Amino acid sequence: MSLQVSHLHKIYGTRVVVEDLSFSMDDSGVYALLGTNGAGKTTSIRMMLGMLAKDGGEVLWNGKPLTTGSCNIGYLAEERGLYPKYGLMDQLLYFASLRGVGREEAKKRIRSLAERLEVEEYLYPNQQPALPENGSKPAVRIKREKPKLADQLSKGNQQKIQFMASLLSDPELIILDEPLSGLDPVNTDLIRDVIREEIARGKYLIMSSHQMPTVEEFCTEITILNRSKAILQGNLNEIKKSYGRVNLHLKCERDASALIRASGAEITGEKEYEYQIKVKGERQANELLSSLIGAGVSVITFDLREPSLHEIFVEKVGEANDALED
Amino acid sequence: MTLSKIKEQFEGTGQVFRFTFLQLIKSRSTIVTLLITLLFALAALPVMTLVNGGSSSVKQSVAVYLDNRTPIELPELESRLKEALAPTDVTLLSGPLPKDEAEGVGLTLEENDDAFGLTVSWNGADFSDMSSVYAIGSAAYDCVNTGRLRHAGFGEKEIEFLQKGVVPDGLTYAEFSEPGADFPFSDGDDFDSSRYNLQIGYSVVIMMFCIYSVSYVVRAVIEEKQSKLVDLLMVSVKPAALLLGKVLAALCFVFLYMVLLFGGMLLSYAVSSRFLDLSAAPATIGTLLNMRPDAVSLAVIVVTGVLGCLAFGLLGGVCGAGCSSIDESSGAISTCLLLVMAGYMFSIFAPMIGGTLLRVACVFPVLSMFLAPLQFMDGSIGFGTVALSWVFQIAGIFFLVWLSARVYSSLIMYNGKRIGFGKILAMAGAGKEEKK
Repeated sequence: MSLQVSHLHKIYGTRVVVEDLSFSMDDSGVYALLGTNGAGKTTSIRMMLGMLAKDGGEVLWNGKPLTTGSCNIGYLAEERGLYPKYGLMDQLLYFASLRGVGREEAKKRIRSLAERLEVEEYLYPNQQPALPENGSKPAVRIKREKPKLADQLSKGNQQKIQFMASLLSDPELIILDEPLSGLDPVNTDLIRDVIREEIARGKYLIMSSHQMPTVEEFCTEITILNRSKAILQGNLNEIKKSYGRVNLHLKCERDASALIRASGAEITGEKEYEYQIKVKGERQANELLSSLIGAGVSVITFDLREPSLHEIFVEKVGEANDALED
Repeated sequence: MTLSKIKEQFEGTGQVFRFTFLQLIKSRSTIVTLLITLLFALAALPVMTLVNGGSSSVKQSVAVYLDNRTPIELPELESRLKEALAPTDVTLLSGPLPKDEAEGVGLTLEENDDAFGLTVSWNGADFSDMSSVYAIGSAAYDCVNTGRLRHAGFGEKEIEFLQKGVVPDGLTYAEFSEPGADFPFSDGDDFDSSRYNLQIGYSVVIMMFCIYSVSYVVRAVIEEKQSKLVDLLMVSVKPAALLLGKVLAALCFVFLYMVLLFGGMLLSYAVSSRFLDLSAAPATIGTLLNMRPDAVSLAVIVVTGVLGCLAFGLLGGVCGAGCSSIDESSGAISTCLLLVMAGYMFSIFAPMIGGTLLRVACVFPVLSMFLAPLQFMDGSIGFGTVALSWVFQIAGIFFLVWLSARVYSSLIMYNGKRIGFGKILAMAGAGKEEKK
């Protein structure tokens, strides 16, 4: 299976909102579509899914145009939504039926996903607790509750329900637009676990997110969009390697800022003898270490690493904006 | 577009219909509305009859005492009274109305110097139904007029000749010199109030059907947009299927509503007629409930109504998709409402005008659903005209389907100020999308 996106283009009036976007996925895994607000991520996704007409380009799945007929697609939209006054189970069964999933099969999948995402109490409010082992009746009588409506759930729980909806048809291609936004750490971990499971099952995922740590954790290939154009594309590890190990985390027992500046390195962050330093490369870092030791400064932490995706993103976007202004 | 492509466009319509319909009828507010409708339907007829002066009991028989103080014989009086007061049975007795008669009617005929006096008097506080009194008086009047001519020596043929009415009429010379030709605004038929009442009643029902259908479809579309589910749904189902499923669900729901309303009224009619004199019921309702269409006419009514409401539903869906919030729904509904009201108003006045104008209107979309079925039942138009009206209606539906295919997907993803129908048409023509 493979996904090919070639020269995707979209214009509104005279404004180009997506310009010549191309990327491909030849193996299963997660592809990150990153970008500033308004860069064209959601528009690109909508064109890929056929919700918006393309002004140019094509999207192929296994060599054929990507449609809901040629590919089983799961989509978690950036704009979250459920029918506020309808039952949750009714809605999930409806979404499953639209994707051609039979009722019984849909119920099984809903149960399985509900357990994984810990939303059973909302979908099965009258689930009886397990009986005591000695066979006696439970001490507390469970009051029969009405099924929950969507607007009775918190935003995070609604999001988990929508995430479930995107996976009900066991899709081959899963597109997640900001899957973790607005979630607390516990729910974030739940969704990340499910994403990991889907990756392990060989699914193709495209993720759009502003949460760089999540992207770094899952994604192998990335595209960064800025003002409708792709400003950086490729394998994440390769991109990081190309920057080299230039970020130094240094912690000393006393003030070493003067020595650091004297070595020509740039202090980008400082907090009580703990420094974030930008060096030109390993050589400069080693020279700095030697000068610190030579000056009798005790070094507690010396950590030289590649830039984070966040740092690369900010730098690349900044460069692109500067170029535009010039 | 191949058949498979067309089929693909409407895949998922069944699921959308099932879900939308079930959610409509499961909603608590809907159940309350339907119950109130049923109660209203059951109570409306007896309440309106009583308000209009209908009596609370139906007389099984009435005694009419004829005190004839003239030499005029009235042999046909009893049969005319039975005809006028049906289903109440009439017994004609001679002599003045006895004072101790609990309930009865007295007819006194006497000859004065310059006129014959015909007096109707009655006993019993319950016998205050003026329509029956008028009927008795009118029947007696006709019998007296015939009787005195017979008493004067005229034969039956002469009496018939003398009693023929004189009908004044005004025509242009062209109409006068070409009798039988069809002229606009000329219809030789007399104005028939029962047909008019039937037309009004039927038009009101169709208008209600259309307005409710449009309202439900517009609201359903806007609520779906507001719930921000559009992205998820668009991945799973085509816009045409999404819209058609909703329209069909709304039509079925409104049909259920109408069945409850009219079923309730029919039940009320069946029960009330045992205890109330329903002649005082509003003429429109009475005429509508007494409608007895044959199978073909019923089929014409159903097919014409369904096609018309389907068209309005689709139009409502497209207009609703141009809205971004429920606050804008009135604007979308009013676009459809204008057409519905135009059809309704035309249907009220067109039968009075008649002629070619009426026949053309029976074929014209929007107007045909209000006019064609009753004109067919009346015999004013043939099945060919009805079939032609269906062709035009179906053409209108296809146009709306084409329109929704062009613009619905971009409209339901649009968020902003409401897009009017004129601009929607322009979008369809240009194939443009509206930026979100």
